[in-house]
Amino acid sequence: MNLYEADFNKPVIIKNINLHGMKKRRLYDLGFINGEKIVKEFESIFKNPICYQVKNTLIAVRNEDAMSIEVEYEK
Amino acid sequence: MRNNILLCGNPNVGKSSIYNILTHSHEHTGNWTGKTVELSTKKIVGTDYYLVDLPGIYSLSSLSEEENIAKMTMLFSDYKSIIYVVDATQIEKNLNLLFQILQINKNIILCINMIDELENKNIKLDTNKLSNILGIKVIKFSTYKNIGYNELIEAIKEDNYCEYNYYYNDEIEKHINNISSYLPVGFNNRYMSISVLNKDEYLVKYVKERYGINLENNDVKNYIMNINSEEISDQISIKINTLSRIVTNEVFKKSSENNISLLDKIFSNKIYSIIMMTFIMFLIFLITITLANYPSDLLGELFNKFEYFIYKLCLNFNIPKVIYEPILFGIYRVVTFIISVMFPPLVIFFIMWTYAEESGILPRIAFNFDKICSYSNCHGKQCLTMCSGFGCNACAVVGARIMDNKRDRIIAILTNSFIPCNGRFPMIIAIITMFLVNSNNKILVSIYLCGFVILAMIISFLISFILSKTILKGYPSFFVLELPEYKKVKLSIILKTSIVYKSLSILKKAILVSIPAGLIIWLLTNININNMSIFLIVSNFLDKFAKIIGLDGNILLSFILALPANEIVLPIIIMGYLGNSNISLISDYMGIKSILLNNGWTVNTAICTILFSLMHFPCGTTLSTIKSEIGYKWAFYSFIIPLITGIVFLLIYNFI
Repeated sequence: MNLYEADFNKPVIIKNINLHGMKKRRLYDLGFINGEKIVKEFESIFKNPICYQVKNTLIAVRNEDAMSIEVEYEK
Repeated sequence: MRNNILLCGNPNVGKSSIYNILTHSHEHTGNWTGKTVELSTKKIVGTDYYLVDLPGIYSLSSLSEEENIAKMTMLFSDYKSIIYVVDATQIEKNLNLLFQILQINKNIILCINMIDELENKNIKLDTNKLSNILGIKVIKFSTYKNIGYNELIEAIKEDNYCEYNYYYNDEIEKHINNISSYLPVGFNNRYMSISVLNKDEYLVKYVKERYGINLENNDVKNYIMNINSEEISDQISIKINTLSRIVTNEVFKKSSENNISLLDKIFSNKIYSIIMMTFIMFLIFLITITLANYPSDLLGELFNKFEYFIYKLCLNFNIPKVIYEPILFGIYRVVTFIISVMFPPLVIFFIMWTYAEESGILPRIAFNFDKICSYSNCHGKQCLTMCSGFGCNACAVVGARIMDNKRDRIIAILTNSFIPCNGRFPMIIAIITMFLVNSNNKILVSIYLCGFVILAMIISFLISFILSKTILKGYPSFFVLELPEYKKVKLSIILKTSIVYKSLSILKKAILVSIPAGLIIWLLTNININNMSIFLIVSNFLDKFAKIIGLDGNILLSFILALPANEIVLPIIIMGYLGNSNISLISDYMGIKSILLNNGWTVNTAICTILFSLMHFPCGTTLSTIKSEIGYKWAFYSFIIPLITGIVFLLIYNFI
């Protein structure tokens, strides 16, 4: 499952990020990193980007990029 | 300098306000990423040290200019120690950068800011334990409740070495050591090795250019080729992230889940929120226009009375015309016009703008309108520079540094002058009131104004799209945006920032520019060659072309003469029409309207003038800012692109 497909308000854990170089680094810097807990919070007006909560912070990520983030539901 | 102290931390941790308190100054503070772009340095009051405010960054990975500035300052400049600021409610996120910085320098103080907010948010933070675990000097701080000032000043005077060490797994340590052995001695070899593993090209280039040392020498290159450096670099990031999590779990307890603000929920995912946003914009304009009217009228009247008084005085003392006329009818009139017409709306606008900036509304605008940016092939943060363009285009040009990618930044800068700034609003409002609404109906004026502003934004996006398909081909860089929590803002702070640091400084600039401009314009309208003023000769020359695009020579010449500051377009137009004849009142709408009507203005002229005001070359200050930001070539483009757009737009408008 990727992050875009995850349900709202249901915590997921990041398994892997299928991006490289600068994009991956940026996501890492903001806390989108393997093992981190993420909650999909709310959409913007045009449904893209979507806002996620990570490390107590709200971060907006475009859907195209969220699709490259592999996640699974918290057990 | 040896007595420099670096102030660093993530964006939005309140670094700038700590800077202000320690240096007793009033640098601007803001609630969105990338506010401090220049390294401000000031003496810390009560010590011999200087505080350097580094840009707020998330990591040292050299992805943006700000990160590069911060990192290079930490690595290569001469300084005594670092103050690392964290937000007490966001410890986990903030610790990441701390762990990265500890690899560079350990003379560091951990300043836990916003300590007073812990209670409100039901958070327990064990600062003693944190200090013990990390072996670091911890200062609890609150700018609102004045906690920690003396302690921080005392700590700055000492050296506080952090005792914390962390290591990666054996394999990574082995790689780091091996690469270190290939590097020249004398540098922070461990950090340099990690940077090489992280493929930090900027650092490699910097060290090569500044010290002539090649970090990626053949030995290193060969070594890296045989290992999976991406995997190792990932593990380094994961290790640091895990460390922050473990440390945070030890000291940080939150009793309630994070509540998403009600406002965020209302604004998300509903088409009617677009309508709401437009309505809010309408409301902002309405409030600005209505409230600004009274002080404007009052000031105008006072200035006129004073002018009459001085005029009488000059007559009584037999002062020659040559002396008092240029000063009184040239300089004085332009300057007072600017003050009375421009200052009240400027203040009101900036009060609301500062609130939006400080409270965290601005990033939400960028969040909600990112889709439009992505359609027009530009970066999501362009919305932010657009919004600050409403205040001042030159400020917005500097603000465009928040974009990592040069292409995105250039697009944002080139299309910013389509956004009407505070210098242009008064004239647009005046013309709408006089010609489109025909009465003092503030609601109608605001609706028209909204319409023109939305048009300006559409054109700005359209030109962005065209630029991205022609001279600035490419794709916008990666968009991620932090939405800071909504903050309560102190009224006193809003008033202080908006009036003293924004409005007054812009007004000062406008007045300085308008003094020589007022004189020159008076001279141009009063020096006659063959019974015709120079102004008239030039405006007659321009008249033919100007008529094609719906203006007249006088209007066009006024725009050209107002290059130093957009605020003076309308006063020049009026002075141009009046020539050297005596006028008494130019600050009241009906007076202005009859002058304009007498000179052939129609509703069409009015609309064309507004459109041309939206789409013409940016003011001199903006141009020189663009030149120093991205160079002559782009300053030229930023001059020519809106001008051509405006002429083409007006041609189309006039022929349909």
